[in-house]
Amino acid sequence: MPPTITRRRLLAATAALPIAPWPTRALAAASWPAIEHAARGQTVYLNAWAGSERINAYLQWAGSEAAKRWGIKLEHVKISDTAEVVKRVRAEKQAGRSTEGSVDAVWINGENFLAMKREGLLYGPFAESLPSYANVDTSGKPTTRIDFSEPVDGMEAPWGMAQLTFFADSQRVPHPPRSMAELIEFARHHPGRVTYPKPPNFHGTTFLKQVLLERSVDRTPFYAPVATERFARLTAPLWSTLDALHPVLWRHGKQFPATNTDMRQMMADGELLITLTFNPNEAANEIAAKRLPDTVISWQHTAGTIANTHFLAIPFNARAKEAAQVLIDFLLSPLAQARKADISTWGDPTVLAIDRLQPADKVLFAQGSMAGSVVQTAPALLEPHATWVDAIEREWTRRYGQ
Amino acid sequence: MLELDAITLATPQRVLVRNVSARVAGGELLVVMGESGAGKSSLLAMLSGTLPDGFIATGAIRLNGREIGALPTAQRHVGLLFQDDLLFPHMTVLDNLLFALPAGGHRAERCAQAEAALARAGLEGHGPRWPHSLSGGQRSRVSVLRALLAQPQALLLDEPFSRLDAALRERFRAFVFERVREQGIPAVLVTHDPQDVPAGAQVIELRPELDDA
Amino acid sequence: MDTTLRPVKAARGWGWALPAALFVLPLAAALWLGAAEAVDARAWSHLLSDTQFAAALAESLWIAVASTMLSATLCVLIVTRLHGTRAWQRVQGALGGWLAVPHAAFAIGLALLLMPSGFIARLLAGVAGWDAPPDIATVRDPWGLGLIAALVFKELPFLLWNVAAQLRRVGQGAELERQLQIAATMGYSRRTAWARLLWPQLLPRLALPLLAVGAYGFTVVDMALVIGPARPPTLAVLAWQWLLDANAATNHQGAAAALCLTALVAALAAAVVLAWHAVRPAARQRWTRGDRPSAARRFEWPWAGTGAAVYLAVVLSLLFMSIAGVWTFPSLWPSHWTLQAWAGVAHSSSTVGVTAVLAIVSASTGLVLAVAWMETAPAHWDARAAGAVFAPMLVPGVLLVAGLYQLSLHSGIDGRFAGLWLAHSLYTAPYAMVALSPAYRGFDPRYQQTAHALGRSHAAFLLRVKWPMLLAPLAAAFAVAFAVSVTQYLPTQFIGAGRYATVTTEALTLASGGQRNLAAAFALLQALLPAIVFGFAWWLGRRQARRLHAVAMA
Repeated sequence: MPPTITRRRLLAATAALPIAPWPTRALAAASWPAIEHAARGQTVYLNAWAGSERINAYLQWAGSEAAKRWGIKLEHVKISDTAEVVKRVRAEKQAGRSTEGSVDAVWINGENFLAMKREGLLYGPFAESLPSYANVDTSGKPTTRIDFSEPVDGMEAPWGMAQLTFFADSQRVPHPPRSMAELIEFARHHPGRVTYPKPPNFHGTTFLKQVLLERSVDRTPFYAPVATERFARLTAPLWSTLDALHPVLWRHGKQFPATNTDMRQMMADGELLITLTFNPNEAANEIAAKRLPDTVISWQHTAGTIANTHFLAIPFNARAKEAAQVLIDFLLSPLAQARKADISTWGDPTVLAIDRLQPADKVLFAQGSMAGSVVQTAPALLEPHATWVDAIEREWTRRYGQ
Repeated sequence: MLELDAITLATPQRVLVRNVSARVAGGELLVVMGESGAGKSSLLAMLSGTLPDGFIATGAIRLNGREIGALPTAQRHVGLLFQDDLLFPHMTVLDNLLFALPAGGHRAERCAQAEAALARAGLEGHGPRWPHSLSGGQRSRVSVLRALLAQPQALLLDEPFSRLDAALRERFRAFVFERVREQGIPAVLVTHDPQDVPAGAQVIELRPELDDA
Repeated sequence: MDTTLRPVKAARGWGWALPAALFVLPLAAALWLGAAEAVDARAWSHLLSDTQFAAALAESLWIAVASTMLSATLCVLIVTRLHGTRAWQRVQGALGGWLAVPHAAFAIGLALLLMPSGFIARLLAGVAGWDAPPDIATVRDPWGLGLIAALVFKELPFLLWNVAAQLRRVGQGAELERQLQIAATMGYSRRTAWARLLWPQLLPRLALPLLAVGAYGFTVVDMALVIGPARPPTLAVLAWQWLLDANAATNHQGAAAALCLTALVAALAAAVVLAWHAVRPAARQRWTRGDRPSAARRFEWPWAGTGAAVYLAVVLSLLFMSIAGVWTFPSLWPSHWTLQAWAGVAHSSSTVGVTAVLAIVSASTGLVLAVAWMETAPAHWDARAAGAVFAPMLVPGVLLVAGLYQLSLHSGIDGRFAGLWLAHSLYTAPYAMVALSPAYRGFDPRYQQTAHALGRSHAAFLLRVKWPMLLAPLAAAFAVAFAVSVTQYLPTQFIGAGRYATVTTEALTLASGGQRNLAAAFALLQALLPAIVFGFAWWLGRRQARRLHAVAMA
């Protein structure tokens, strides 16, 4: 019972659209202290998905810290889909609003990022000039520099890591399925108790991408832009798997939950047996908040699940660019990242290289695994190129959407 | 024959009608007179079964031998005419009359009956017209026709002439009394104007009772 | 000597132009801008070739028609049965409360009752031997039954309220009462008299409210998001999703879909009018057939009581849900209770503040516009103005909101309080007008004539005679406008740039977050605010009635 997360579409007719010139508004020769000085008293409107109280609470904390340290006011603008922000900034650009934009910072990645970058809707490059960027684990976490196969080029700053993770109540699911094949078997033994969110919800789309990657022998085509003439052949394994899977899904595959939080609620009720998330620590966080029983466990498919990084970006017409940068820099700091990674607050994994930190900062991250965390982290599968997302979503809707 | 037997009508504050009895034969007229607020309309309401809550009413009402005091209005077969013609505004004159006519026979037959009634009243051909396009006098006549076409066993008239001017009043009065005689049903007329009383009619005067100390 | 006769024209100023312009100009601009996005051949070809379009269209049609007919039928049954009895007075009194329950909150509560892991399923689990929620789609079902039920419960009080307003119109109520008496003397039972005599007169006067009900069923977005079908969604939800999409071409497709919705509403209205005219001759024959069906008491389902019971159940389920923690199926009671949700609500006091201030400001604006119009424009102009007045209720919200966004973007008030104030006022003004006009127009004109004859200025008359006498209807209209503002979702989302969170946007966003207890708490909060204002208006009305009555009795 949620506003369905709308399809985050890539600009379909990229050929018809002029590729916007590379953003020329580079960071002016202003030094960091000058930026901090200019940021004082500004208000940053951070547009971020607000479907979860823990995220909202974390941002409230961040806001109070920013106010204390730099006199910056953080306003968390709650949105239900990042595509709204893309649309809003685009509309403002078309209306000629190039300075007093309504969005100062946006939580973004994937095809939304691609859209904004291509259309010249972003300010930057700024990310790599941030002082805290030095601690980012760019070598160990390549997705911090490549977003859905698109180079980031400093137009967005990495914020947290995500990996597709499943979780279930171990009392009802003693032997969790560790691959797509096992999941299908599991669904056959428990008809009506497994499902995935309806694409174009990003969790649902990711599930589809996971199926596709696991069931395809050769994955390289998916890391290049989508090839329409070979699309049918390349995605055949996905559709045949779904055709086999849907009859044993919840509601026989005729209806799908709108979001993964719906699914989590249904799992808590017992209507579903398995649910999925992007945050490997979500189950642990829910257990800590007493919203799930402590018998819940999380796992990832042994051969690897899709992983990505989520970012923070600044629109080209942001009113408070300096404050936005100062805020993002703070959110990248060890203190903020540690608190974010703390399972009792949010549990979102950090983008920093912990071993490279100072001992005083390193200790902030020390936290044993808690009930519900993933026991054995699986390899990270890279996200396919952003253009595949739209094509897959559209084909899914055509086949199963009505 | 309409019989009123020891009718007493009162509100919690005072008595309106005390121990009234009367017998009205078919074609005859009973006139109830009194000043405003004396309880004339309430008496009619009691006879027609439309008394609102809060009244205390005792006594028997018999119509053609049938005890009707306890019956709901729809089963009393008593017609009612108000000061306003109250023709149904969303229906033509003909439809107004057809609404009143009892069922039975083809529509064509019923239409003929209604048309005949109109003709006898000097309103020939006015069937398809809408009530608002008729004059006041015409509407009043149609209203009487409608009440009578429903074939009531008695007719109650609540100051039906008071809205009309003097000349129209005379003609309409005569029209009504003639119709009542023609149908042969008892009629009760409520009025405050002594000129409305035809010769030889029974008259009951209601006086507002003073509180006994 | 000039002997030509000239009709007398009452002296009339141009005062009416101001409220009219303040309302119509932004409205027209918004409609124009919203529709302009749809003037794109590609958008229409995309729309028509979209795989979900036909199914969504059929579904929306079914839901709108079914819910309108059902609520109209229930309204007729309830009024026919209860009019003239004491129960009718009670129903009228309760209507204010029913109307105040915001539709989104109601939908959330109803979903909680009906869903497979909801109360009813748990009650049945013991009997049916379920240990997991059954795999039956009770909400978000493909037939839209959940949404139809929620719509009916929302529309029924509105229709009843309109009927009550018609019956209360000066002269109207008494006349209909007399007609009932006359029909009774002709031997017609009450039920037959209503069916053949009164409803044929009342229903045409309810044409606009019925159209508003049908249009709402067609174009509602927030209720459909909570409890409506998901596959495919209704056309209104699709239009909303497309309008929010990042892809510009999809936005145009959404605008085209919104325009399509408008056209469909108009077509449906035309179809109904044509059907009514086609059926009338046969209907008239039926009415004048003269047969008197017996008034035998056969069992009639107590619709009004059922409705009240369902409302109560929904409110109770929201209350229950807001303090429930972990609650596994099939237990009837949660294993944990928690006040966490209400703590979250307490944290959002700014949200409540924003909601209340916005509602007060826009309700006042709407009321002022309505009063200004009715003071300066003659009564027979109301019919002509009805088109403009009802437009925000009849035009799909998605279209109007998209246009309002463009308007506010170009005038620089998007993301600002002023933009929200404008958008909300365009919605509160029509409702204030509808709520107030029976009483305002019905005000005895002789009071004004008397005051002027006594030599008082018009302003003195208004301030010291008319408005104090009309205090109760003014307060009631304010309460209605307040409730309308509180329950707005689309405008606040779109035009506020998400910066202004109202209780409604919070509730719906949280409903998507899956935290049921928080969503329930916010839904209750959403219902509480208008309820307080309605309560105040009711109290004011009672006090006024007592005073006026006391004067009359003395």
